[in-house]
Amino acid sequence: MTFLNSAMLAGLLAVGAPVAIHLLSRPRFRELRWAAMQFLLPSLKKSRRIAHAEDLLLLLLRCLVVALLVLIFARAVRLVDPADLAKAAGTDTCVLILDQSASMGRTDGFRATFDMAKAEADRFLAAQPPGSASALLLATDRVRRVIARPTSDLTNVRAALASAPLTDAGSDLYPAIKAAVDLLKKTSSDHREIVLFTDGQMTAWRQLPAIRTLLAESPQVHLDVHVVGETRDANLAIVSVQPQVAVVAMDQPMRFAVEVANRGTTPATGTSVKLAIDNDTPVAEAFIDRLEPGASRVVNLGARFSTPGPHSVTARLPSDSLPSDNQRTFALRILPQLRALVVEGTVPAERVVGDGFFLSHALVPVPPDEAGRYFIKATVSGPAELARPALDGYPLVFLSNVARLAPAETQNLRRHVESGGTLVVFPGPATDLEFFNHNTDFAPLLPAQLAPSRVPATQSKILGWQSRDYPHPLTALWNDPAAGHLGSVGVSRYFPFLGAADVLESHGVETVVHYANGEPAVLEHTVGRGHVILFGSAATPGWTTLPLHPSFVPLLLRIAAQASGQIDEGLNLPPGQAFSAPVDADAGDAPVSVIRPGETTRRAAGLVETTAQGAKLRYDDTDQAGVYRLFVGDEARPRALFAVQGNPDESDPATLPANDLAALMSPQPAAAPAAAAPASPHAPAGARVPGEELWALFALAALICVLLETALAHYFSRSKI
Amino acid sequence: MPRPAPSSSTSLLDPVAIERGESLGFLARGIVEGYRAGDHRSVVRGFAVEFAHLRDYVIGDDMRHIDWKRHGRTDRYYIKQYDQDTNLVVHLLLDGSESMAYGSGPLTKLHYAKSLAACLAYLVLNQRDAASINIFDTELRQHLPRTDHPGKIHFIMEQLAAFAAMRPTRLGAAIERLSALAHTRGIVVILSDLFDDEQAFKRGLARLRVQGHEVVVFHVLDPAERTLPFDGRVRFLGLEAGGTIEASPAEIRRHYTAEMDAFCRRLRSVCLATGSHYVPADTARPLAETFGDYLDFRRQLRRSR
Repeated sequence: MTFLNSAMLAGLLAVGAPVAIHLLSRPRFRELRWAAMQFLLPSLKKSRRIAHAEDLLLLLLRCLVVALLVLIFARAVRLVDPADLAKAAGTDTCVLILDQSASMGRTDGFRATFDMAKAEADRFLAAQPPGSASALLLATDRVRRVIARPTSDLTNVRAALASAPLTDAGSDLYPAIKAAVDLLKKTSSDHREIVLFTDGQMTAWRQLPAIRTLLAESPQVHLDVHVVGETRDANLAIVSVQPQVAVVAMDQPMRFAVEVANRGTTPATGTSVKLAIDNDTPVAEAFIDRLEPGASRVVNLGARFSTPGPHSVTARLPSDSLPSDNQRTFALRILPQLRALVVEGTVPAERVVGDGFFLSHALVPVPPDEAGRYFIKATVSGPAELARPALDGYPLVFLSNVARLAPAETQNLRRHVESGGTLVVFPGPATDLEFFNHNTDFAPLLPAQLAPSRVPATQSKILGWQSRDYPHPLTALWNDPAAGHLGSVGVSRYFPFLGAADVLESHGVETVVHYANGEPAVLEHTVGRGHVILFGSAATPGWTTLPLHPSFVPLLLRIAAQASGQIDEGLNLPPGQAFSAPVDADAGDAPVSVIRPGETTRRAAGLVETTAQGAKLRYDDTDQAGVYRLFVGDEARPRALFAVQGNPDESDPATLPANDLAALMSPQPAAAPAAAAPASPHAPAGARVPGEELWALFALAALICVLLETALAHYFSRSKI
Repeated sequence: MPRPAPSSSTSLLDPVAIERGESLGFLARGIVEGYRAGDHRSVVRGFAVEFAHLRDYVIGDDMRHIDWKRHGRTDRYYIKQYDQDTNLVVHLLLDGSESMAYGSGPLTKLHYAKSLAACLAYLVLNQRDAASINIFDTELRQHLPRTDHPGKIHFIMEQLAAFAAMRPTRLGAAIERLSALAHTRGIVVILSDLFDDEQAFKRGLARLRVQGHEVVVFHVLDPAERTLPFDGRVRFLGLEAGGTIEASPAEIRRHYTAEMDAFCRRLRSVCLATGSHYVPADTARPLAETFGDYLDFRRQLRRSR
């Protein structure tokens, strides 16, 4: 026998308590002169023999009760020979895998598939014979090791199973099966089994060939799959919610594209799609008359945000058997206003053809009478504006055909960029290469040095931009064929960048877009906390068609969105991905609290992290889809808001074919000879291992002792009356 | 418990017991011999009855024995005493050992026994019988020869009252000594708690009976000695044998009372076997009841013969 909680054996000291009480209970005598002494002694001898025996019996029972209680708390277990353990009929070492992906939330109207799977897994564990060992893994598209090593304490495994939560994550069973195989390879039990409880969704078996290979390489391991739940005929899912504008701003009409897919086997008719802001009452609704099985439809729903800051929009469908895909939330930060400064190199008397004309009009692409209500305010001025302290009020600064800058202007501009501003440079005919390439304050701002401008060496003397495969976030929009392409943007004169692309990349410079000949056309890099985007050509039609190209406005809007931090903001995450956002340095080490999806009260969520790059909020527990609100200290308004969006693949009802499933569950391999079985994973070779817990036996014995002691004490006291 | 002070002589006579005893008389159950004619049958039989002497008539004397000739001459009544008539001799053997000094209440066993002895002596002397008083502990410590003078009762009571229990018991030796002293048959009344060698007691009784004495054993016990009624834990200090015993009376009560009952039964059996009377004398019981009930029993027994 050994003990799982041997520290409790210190309680055996308490066995001395009844003995101490017995010894300390020394009687006090009163004296009495007595004549009939000859009758006392024989009586005393007789009664003392009996009383001594009675006292001893009661003392033994009391000490035994204390000792049994200590053994219960010390969790005594029987030591068994691993060979005996293996020889015992039906003893297993198994790894339980429970699928906790979003698709397991499908219900039959009463219970979710997940709950049914847990109940079946619990019955499986309860039916395990004494001596069986089990581990527990939870599977989504990752694996979580709840009970990392097989244990014979199945009570503990069952408790962990009962508390396992359902998530909104996607599913990929390969990592969990591989982890289980690796665990079982380390054991020596004759019967090693992976017991998987899942809904059989095909998506989870996306790495089926790898799983087959894994199992084939581990013939000692048997896979047993329990498919739980039923496939329902009807299921509509919201696959995506996306804003249709590059920059989301206050009081601007906005459209959100909501894609609805029919994942069922029957047509869906009269489907209502609603859009709500910040989980409030719906502000927009659309109807889908009919949606065939397997088809999807995008509906556009409008919304307007009256206040700036973090918000969410939630698209909802009527509830069906899989509730998790009936809504999807998109988090975004609404801008109040964006101010842009366009610095012209030359300010002509006739502004119509000024260097900043096309830029300023592309930034505010509305009629003059609406410009006041537009969220972007563009100011056109000369270089002197750069020296003003008010430059900080312009998150976005354009330099268009600026020759050179004064030292004060350069230094102020550099300070502005390093503190988080965005600088976009369009060189032009007036550009002073000496200043651009060698000025000690200005040159480091640029991603690359400029070579003297030249005419493209093409036959048409026009060099176009690349027409597809745009990896950079600023141009990723044009990966969607519906948005067109940038291949029709052409330059008739441009400044080549000095330095090979790979060299530039090694210095942190990214190519936003390149020419058709592979030369970079637009470069970007970070300086301090800001960004600098360098075009290779001017912002006027004399050198390039870009200002007149349909992509000019959306490109500038995306630049503006990046300047405001909206692009690549990381506000919408898949389940399980950690959220991180910078905060002011003065918030360092402040307590953080969170309101999770579906909840109204705050939970503690650690502290603001302070790193070399500054203070930031971080939250890891994102297995549940929906909106998360993070607060710093006692603030009433959330400092950050983000949304977790489930994997749309979880809505796919397709299941793994039965024959594929059967092929995976190979027959039980023949047991290896017991003599060849090495020791269990818990102990060195030849050592006995923990087997069955004995607490129930000790508890019963303690109860019997207590009852016996009570009855005997009563009887002995009565016999003395 | 401290040794009780010697009883005062005046407290030994229980008036109720005396009254009851007087009404019932203390009549010899068996055949006794006396030194003068009395109310008791004599074991000496013969056809020659010799005139012994005259004595003054006392109320209650048999009128058949009045010497009428002397009355005619003197005008006084005289009783003829013949050899064939005897009177009762009661030998009182009182246990004066230390064990008799125990008493759970105001009355010790010794006081009770002394009172019983005083009442018996008074009754015997009052009916013109003779009584001898013998007090023993390890030996026959005090011997008052037999007397039939009623006036001697005060002296007897003084001697009884003055005796203090200070020594252990040797009942067998006392009985043996008494049997040597009691030349004539009579009634031997033993008043003792009998906490001594039972075999010696048995031999003593047998010897007395062989000598023709009628033996009455008043077994004087305190009620606490019978029931052991104490609570808690007690350190018993021996009165005679010394030593101490610590015990919880509640724990040993059952065994103790069994031992005591068996002891009493054995003594009763011994008495029965020797033709002696065994009279339990519980000190909690009024003396008059014990005394009177026994005398009543004797009277009825005599009538039945």
